[in-house]
Amino acid sequence: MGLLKDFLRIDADRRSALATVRQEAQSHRLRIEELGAEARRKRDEIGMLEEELRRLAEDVARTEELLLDLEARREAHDRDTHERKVDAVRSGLAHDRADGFRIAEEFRQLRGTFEGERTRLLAEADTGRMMDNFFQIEAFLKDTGTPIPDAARKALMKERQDLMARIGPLVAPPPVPDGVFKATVVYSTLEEGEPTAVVAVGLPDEADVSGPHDLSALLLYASYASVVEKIGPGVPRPRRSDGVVVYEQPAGSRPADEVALDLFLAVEDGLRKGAAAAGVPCELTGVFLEPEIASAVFPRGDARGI
Amino acid sequence: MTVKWIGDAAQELGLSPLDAVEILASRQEYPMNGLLDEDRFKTLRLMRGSKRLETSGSQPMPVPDRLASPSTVPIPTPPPQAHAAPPPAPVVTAPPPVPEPFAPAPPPVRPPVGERTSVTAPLQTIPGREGEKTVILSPIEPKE
Repeated sequence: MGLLKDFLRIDADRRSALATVRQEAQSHRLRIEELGAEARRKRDEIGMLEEELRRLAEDVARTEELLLDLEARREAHDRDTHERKVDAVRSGLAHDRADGFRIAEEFRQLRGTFEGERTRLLAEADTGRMMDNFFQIEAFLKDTGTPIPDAARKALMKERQDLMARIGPLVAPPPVPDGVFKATVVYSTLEEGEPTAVVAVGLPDEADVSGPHDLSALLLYASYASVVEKIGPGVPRPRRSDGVVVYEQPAGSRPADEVALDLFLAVEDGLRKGAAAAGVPCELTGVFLEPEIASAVFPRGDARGI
Repeated sequence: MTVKWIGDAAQELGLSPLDAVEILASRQEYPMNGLLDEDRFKTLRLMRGSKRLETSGSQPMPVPDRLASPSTVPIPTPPPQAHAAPPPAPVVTAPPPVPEPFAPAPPPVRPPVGERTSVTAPLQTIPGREGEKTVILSPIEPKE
């Protein structure tokens, strides 16, 4: 009886343990199915992400191509800008030269004719007498202390006008051109090799045998005199580069742009004083050039000494 | 007073125009119209020599050779006279009076040399009681 009872209890325990194991196996099976579903879902997500990544990579590649194209366009634009600036500087200086040549020719003709007329008048015998008469009439007309009858004043004015017509160049100021001498004075630094300040201006060529009627020579000498006065003797002589007058000065221990500014101010002041001494109206414009533009326009060694 | 164009003056003195400009400008005497009066032309002529010396560099003096025979003949000292009278005793005299310190005259006050004081500078018009007067400028000499 005891044994049967034990067998029954053992069978009951086995059955209950088996049921428990079956339940656990079922739950694990469900868990496996859940994990499989999740894995499939994750795989799908990974597939989508890979697709998105591939699209993003394509976008990146396309954007990089656009960037390279933009960079190439920027470089081309920079080259074009550089060339256009160089051309603009050259054409501006060439225009100044041409315009200055026109003013200088007009100045030379006016002054030459004027001096020739003065010489001719001074060689005539009556000139001295006419000048005496002219200045006596001038003094008489301007003398406010002596009343002059209207008829006499009118006759004196007419006589004065006649004398003025005959000896005008001897008592009149020298003529000046109608135009205005306009020039652009550019200044910059040359950074290749020894730092050097450079100033350039488009002056026309001076005549082979210059004279007081040579406006170009007068302006060139005045600008060089101003440079010597302000900077000191021993400064390098100006040179001609493609017809443009170029001043160069090694910077030494000073900042090159500071030296360039001093040199520019000296040249500009000399040009103003020279034009004023010749009685020619003058308009100067100062422009600072980027060093790479200056290096392209005024290369070293491309010089013709003055 | 003759007035010369600086190019003509430089050519006459055997200089380049920029040399002449540099000489005058370094002395602050360059007239901006390029016309030199006689004083400036004289200055240019005087400074031309120094300019050339400066540009030609200094010339070292030759060092005499000590071993070489002298070019002069030494003069022998005369022998002392046997019966010569003794030299007279030195006469004690009073020291000369100390001169008063000499103060040099101050340098004359001159106007600053420049464009305004030059002969070729523009004339300043000063209206007088009788009004303005016209002045005849001497014509520029024609080039030869």
